[in-house]
Amino acid sequence: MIEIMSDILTLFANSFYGSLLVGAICPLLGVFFILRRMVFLGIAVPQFAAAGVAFGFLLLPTWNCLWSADDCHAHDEGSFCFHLFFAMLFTFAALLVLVWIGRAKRGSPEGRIAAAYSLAAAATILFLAGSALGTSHIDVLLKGEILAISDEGFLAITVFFGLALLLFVFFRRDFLLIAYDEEAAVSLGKNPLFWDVLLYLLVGAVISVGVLTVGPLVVFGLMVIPPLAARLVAFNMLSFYLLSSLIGIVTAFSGFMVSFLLDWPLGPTVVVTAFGFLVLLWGGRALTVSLFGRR
Amino acid sequence: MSDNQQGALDDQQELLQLQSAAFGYGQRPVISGVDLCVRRGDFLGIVGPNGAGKTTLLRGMIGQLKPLQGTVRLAAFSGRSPTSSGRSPKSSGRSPTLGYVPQIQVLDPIFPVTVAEVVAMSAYPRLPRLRRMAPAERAFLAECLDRVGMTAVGGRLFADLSAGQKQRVLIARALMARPDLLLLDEPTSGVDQAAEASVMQLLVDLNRRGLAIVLICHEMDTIRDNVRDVIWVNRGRIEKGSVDEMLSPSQINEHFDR
Repeated sequence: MIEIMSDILTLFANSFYGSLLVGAICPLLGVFFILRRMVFLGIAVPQFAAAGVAFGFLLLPTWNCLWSADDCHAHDEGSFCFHLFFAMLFTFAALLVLVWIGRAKRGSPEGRIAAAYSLAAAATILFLAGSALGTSHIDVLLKGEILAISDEGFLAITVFFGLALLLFVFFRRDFLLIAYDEEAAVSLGKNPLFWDVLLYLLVGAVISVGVLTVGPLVVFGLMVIPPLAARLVAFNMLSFYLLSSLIGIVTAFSGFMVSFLLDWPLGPTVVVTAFGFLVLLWGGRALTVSLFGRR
Repeated sequence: MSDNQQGALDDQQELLQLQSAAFGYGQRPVISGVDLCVRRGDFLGIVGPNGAGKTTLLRGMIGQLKPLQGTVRLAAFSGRSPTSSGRSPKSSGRSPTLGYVPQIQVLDPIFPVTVAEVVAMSAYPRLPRLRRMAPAERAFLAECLDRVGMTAVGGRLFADLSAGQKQRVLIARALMARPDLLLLDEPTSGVDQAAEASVMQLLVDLNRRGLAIVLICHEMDTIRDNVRDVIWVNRGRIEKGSVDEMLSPSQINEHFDR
């Protein structure tokens, strides 16, 4: 075990620590997707981030020509910041539109999000059709090849996820109050729109950086599955937050080990491991209920 | 309500005033021409047919719906704001604090919140962000639960309680805001007769201690037995008067098109 850990930390330190950070923070924000019954936003929004990355690759040749006229056909892959900009642009635009329409409380939320997901997935493919360079990168992202986290990517995860954690801890009570009872929040002088926008800015930033470094599959999996598992055993809100995050970290760690030992692709292994925890806790709870008649 | 607040308010102190107010959704008014003043010690019941705009009026009163026309004004009076940190007294300009009790059906049971966490929500605006609740706040939370007879269930999940217990906990949450005015949306909806009587008795006791109360209720007998004034909401308009005046058989027949 120590030998395996040593190998992992020598060869894949960025990926290992990055996975643990993603495993800790994504479930914390995913808690609010579960509580607001907006789980499908968790799959649609990362897909928009992926579409943004694909759009960046589509623009890359033109961008290179603009800034490097001598070498218009350079096979420059674009900087991390360049791709992050487009991932964030698409993510925030999607969140803005979906939340704005959602606040009108008309029509079917699932239908809107499903349509948005279809659009994002189709747009990703269409953007990639015009960019051979982008195809291989997006393919890696979609498969969740976390082992390839660069130094820039790791720095971005550390900064953005660290900031998101601080803001989440600082404003957790406001986020909870608005999500639980908007009318009571208004009567206490809170502005729901302000707090919703702040929460979605956090979610958008985390999803953008997450998608660019570990891919949409891992981001969606870790945003949704650990909170679902934690909800089965949570006995108050604090335990819900902490268990979600803890299950995310344990999932990322054990997924990394399984992937390393069995030589499986890391991203899907992490997601399958998370699902394993969900089944384990669900089974444990069902057994407890059948034996003792209560949770 | 604290002594500080009590002292700051006269018996007929205006708390909330609506002038020619109209409320609705989008640009379509559901209720208009609302002239209404809520004073300290008032006990108002809002009645009317389904879909008449009772909840819309209440949402306008708490500020969730901005008036499409007219004004909604919270009075300003001296005293310390209970929603501020509680450490620096303000000498003037405090607005009345509202306590709000929603319909229990709107609270999603997917939230694993305990009774104590639900009650604590009303104290959020005055709690320091990164710290736990101070002992004084915890003691006040216990006092609020005690006043509604729910001390024993503080650690239980809110979703696991009966409808009557939930209603009492939500009243405790509203009291935790140290309100000058308590607004309740159908507090007896979905509860059995015994629970309804105990909830109403609790509200009457709170009103006797000086708390102004506005509640929506469908049960005419409950309204008749407990409140002092009645607001009829019907056909987009309101009409206010004493219980005897507003709940006469002719009035009820007129409003329900009998």
